Amino acid sequence: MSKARKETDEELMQLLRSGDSSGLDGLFRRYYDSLCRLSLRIIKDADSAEDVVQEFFLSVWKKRNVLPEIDLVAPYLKRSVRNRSLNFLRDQKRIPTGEESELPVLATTKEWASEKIELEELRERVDLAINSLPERCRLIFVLHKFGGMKQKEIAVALNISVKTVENQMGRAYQHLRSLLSAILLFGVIGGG
Amino acid sequence: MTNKEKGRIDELTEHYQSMPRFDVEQGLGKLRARLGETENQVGSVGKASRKPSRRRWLSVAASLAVLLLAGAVYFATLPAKTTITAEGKTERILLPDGSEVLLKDGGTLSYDEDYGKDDRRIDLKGEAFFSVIPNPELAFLAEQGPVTLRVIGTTFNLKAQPELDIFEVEVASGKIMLETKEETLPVAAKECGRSEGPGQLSKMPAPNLNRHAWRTGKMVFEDQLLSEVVEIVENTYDVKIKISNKDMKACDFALTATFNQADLAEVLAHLEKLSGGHFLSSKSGRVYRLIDWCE
Repeated sequence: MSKARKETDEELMQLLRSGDSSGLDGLFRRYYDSLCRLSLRIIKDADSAEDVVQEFFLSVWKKRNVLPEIDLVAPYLKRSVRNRSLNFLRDQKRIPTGEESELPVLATTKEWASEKIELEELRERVDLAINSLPERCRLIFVLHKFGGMKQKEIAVALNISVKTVENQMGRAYQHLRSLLSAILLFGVIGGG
Repeated sequence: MTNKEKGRIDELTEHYQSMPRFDVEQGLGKLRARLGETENQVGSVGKASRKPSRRRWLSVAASLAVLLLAGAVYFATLPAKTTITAEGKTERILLPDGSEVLLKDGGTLSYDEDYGKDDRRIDLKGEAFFSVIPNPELAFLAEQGPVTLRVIGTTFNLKAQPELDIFEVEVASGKIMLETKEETLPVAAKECGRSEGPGQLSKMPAPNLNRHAWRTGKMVFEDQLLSEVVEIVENTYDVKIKISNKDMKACDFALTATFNQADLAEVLAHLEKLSGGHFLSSKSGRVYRLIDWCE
């Protein structure tokens, strides 16, 4: 348990390229959880998210001799998993197009303000609010916030105009404001 | 929308989908298994469409050797670790020394190949019942953060959820030790010991061993507060029961009840009757909220 691990990401990647599996292991241990989470946020399914990340590491290892130049490892990993997650949605035909359904009303909004809520519950509610956004709206919000994508990149990835991306971002914040209004107004973060 | 509001939304949504935790070691095990498969495939398939010349054979053989070597090097660097996950049912596991584990659905148990060499060390995420074969020479150990559970030989239920900071042991027979750097807490049969927050140890009586109910199907409450009963019911049926803190503070009450192999609906109906309220269920049927009982 007390093994000193001081290798940088770039050193681990160098080991991996040279065919040393400890480089693969090191990067896997360091980034598996956060990459799975990124993928989960995009595709909303934990098992598929793990599959996407597994496939990615598998391919990095298999292509270790022909990997491109990589300046910084962390952004490379994040970018790759993000793109693979988008491809996954595309293959599943889950990239939303066209008109959107109306925003559902969360019945419990009123109740929220009436009690102090615990951190865990707060997070569940915020998750629920984000998940109840119209899917295109949600996806754009997530890609921007967690995927670190610029509006233009999102537009290209989803094959829509920059203007649409901009509008949808605005809608996301507005929806979230109304869905989370009780929390926003009363600032009720109890517990944690 | 003001910038302040926008900032608040950004702050609130920062932790979107921060559950569940992904099990890194299990993931790595899976990756290694898949790597093993594909490398073997590459080796055995080769390219057999044309009649291979002798030279070709040699090069195939050479690359095969390289692949085999790479595979061997890869596997030689792995610590041999056994990991068992209970999916969809309780898993019965026999450890190398004959100790027995009943692993609750959703739990993961792992141990290294040197289990039983100097000690008997396991790692648990989730909940399990242990029946440890006594052996004073080889302590049975489970660790979570700063807390170590030390056992000579006994039966107990352990719940270990590092992401929620839960490490809780209820002892059915014999005695165990909970240890941190600062203190050692013996926990005897029919007691429940737990670590709270950063390595603070505490214990309480557990005369009815209700934390074993997920396995035994038996829950006995004698003058126990609703807030405690609810915790046990959650654990037994793997559901969440939400009662607002305000209600709980104002209206918590002691109740007496026995359930034997009851299903969740029966238990909830009984609690409704005792509390005078009723339960709202979430769509998934995994979350319940008690309302209209404390007015």
